[in-house]
Amino acid sequence: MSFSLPKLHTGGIVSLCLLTLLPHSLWATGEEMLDLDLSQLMEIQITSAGRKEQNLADVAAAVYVIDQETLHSSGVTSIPEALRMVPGLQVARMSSNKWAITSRGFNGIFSNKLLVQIDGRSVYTPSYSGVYWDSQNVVLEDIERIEVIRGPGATLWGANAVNGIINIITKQASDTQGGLVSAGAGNQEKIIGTLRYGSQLNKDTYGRFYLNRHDQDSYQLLAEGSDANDASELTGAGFRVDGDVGLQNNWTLQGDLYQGDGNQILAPVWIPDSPLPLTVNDSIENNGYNLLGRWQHNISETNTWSLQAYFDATDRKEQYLAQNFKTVDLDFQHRFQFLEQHDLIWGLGYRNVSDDFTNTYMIGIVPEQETSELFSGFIQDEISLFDDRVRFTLGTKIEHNDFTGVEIQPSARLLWSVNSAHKLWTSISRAVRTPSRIEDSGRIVLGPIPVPPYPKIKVYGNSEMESEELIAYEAGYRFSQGSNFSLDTTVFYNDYSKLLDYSYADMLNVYFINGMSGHSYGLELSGRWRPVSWISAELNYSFIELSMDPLSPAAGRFSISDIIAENSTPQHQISLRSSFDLSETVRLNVWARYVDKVKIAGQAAYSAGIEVDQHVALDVNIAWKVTETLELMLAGQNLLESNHLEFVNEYFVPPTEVGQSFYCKLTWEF
Amino acid sequence: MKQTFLLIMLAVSLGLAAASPAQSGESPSETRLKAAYLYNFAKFIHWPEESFANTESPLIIGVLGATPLAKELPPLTARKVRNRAIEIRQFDKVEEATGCHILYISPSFNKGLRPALEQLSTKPIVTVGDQGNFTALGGVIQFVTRRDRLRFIIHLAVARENSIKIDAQLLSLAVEVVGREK
Repeated sequence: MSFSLPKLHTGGIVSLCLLTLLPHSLWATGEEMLDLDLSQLMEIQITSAGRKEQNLADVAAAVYVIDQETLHSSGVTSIPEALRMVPGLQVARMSSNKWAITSRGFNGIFSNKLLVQIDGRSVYTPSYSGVYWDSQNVVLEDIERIEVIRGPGATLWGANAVNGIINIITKQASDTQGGLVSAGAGNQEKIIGTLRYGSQLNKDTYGRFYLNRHDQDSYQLLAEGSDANDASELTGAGFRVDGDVGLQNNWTLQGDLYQGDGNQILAPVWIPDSPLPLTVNDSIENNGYNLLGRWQHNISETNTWSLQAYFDATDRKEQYLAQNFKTVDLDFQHRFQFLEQHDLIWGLGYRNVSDDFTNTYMIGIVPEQETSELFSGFIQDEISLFDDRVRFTLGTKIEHNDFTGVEIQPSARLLWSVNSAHKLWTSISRAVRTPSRIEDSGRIVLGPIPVPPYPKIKVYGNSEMESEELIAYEAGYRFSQGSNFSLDTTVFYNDYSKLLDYSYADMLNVYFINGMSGHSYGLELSGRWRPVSWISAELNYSFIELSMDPLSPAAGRFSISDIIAENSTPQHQISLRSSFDLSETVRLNVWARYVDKVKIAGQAAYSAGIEVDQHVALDVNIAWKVTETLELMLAGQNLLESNHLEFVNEYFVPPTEVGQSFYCKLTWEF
Repeated sequence: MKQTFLLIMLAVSLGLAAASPAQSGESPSETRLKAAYLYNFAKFIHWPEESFANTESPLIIGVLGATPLAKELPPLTARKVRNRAIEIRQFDKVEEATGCHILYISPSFNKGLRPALEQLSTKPIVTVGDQGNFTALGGVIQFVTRRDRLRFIIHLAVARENSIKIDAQLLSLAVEVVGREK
């Protein structure tokens, strides 16, 4: 899959993990195979030697891929945990069911500059421009790969892919044939349960369905060490069907349904006419469903189009706000080659989001119901020069949204393959983040001023809000020596303007404004080494420095957005993962992470004077293949410290420490 | 803490350095699968009586050009198709191959696929090949890979020209049937 064709190829990617799911007949001897009939022969998966390897070395962007094997070996039980291994991402667990995940800075519960897609479906929430990680339900075993692109991807993916994109891509149904049952439990992971079954529906159609359940226990509060009341339960079900029509067409239909219940302590909660903060034990009810269809037509090897449509409904109820979204999205893409040297891709998109809020005293959005439309188009040309030694990519996205009108997001990328071992790339791109509904027309009660009669400070949305803008300059170098050693380095300089800030109209009334500019620079490094066939190791390192300037530091300005942005990102992060194949059936996986201190983990941490210390976390697991089809995994996470703080939720939720986790999991394939 | 971790890593590495887990595991045999396909094709294809010397004469499966498939074919000789024994033959020249019923043309056959298929045309032979343009050039059955599975397309018009009858069941399993009469 090439970087320039993210969506089209999700339907065509071939699993990296074929062997685990092969029917037994594959191992049949020549004699036994002769006894099979044609329809049985057609079920046998083969690994074709000529298959094109995913060549990430040829992408002029900072890309990192988590494949199924890595995901499985890491012992993680959720996608956010897996993202901790990605250089350039900052991942912090704020409580058992809440995550702050961002790329290249600006972390928080409202990390709004990172776009996340599951099989081409955006899970970015337009009310606050972020991702509710606790409602993203994907069967980990069915994930083919998680692609993470740091830096702007707006030319292809559109607004809000400012600092990065995460594409979660599940396997095709033809690659998940047969049954899989996995069941696990531990002190923190109360239940991890998955049932998946795939089968060939007819000669050209494959399908699978799944049922899963993930229950997590609560952590403890930083302050008293008492229960943080943040346990959660998530139940899901879904299916995927993939089919071929003749030689030229293939299609996908998939859908999911989930229902989640989580707990949270809300403090402070404000009520009218009282200056006293309340503490409320609240529950989060979240549920949703989605249905996605994609048709791909291959006119020739170098001429392909695809049409994708999805419907997505989410519903989330919390004490301070209930939110309901219904999204319809249509996406057309066409890729073709012309004049041999040009690889052109263009597309058109339409998205319609209907929201429905139930406002409270704490948070309100006006009007409570609104429908917004997004029209987009993009074109990108990848030009191959000097016998494909140099590739120059030029493209732009143009979109129209209801908040800020037309947004243009161009990029230029250059890749130079010095030889097969050394590659250099550089890029310059522009990306925007469009205002959320809250920033446009919201109302948030911050709390009372400490003077009788204790009137409350409120933050108001501002319909004049414009998009946040970024011009990003990136460069990278990749080195690979066979499959045993590779190094991937990226440096970047980001120039931001019109960043979200607050402006005080008076003591009690605060408005969102585009009031801050700034820049960041950093280095990301990823090295893989396989000294011998049974040991593999990966070392990732990230460095980042952010510097912000409030545009008008006028007297009476109380905003601390700049110092929060500058100090909410760990400056240094290291991840070291290694796997040891102790025998043919036993694998030991060790993962150590260092995360630098976070001086100001958001507004609440600043007010409370809480600093998040640097920490080292260690995860170890051992996976034993008891038989060809049965695996037992024993895992321990965060082994070095019994509890540690990673981030502080900006609003409502008190600081919560992440605890140790031990679990045991059985995976049976049949 | 970091030291502890490094020590653990070191200890584990040293402790295990002596162990030498051999990574074995036979790779799935695509050629074996092709052999099974050829046998199955024979079951669903009818040749004109003239193509057999008598009712006892064997069904001849030929291979043109060097290919690993040749090694997988001998087990077929233990089987029968509609009471006919199966005989396997290896050819280097097209002219030699005119007497067989199924002819697999190896991708390594370098004397020109197009002239070979032209030479074999209208003879009651089911030509089978892997090349992407095999049916386009006048071959009867072409293997294709779909979703990592071995499948096939059939050129029915060529089969008809060659006086070969293919059962509907086999046609229904093809990814595509080229030259089907509307």
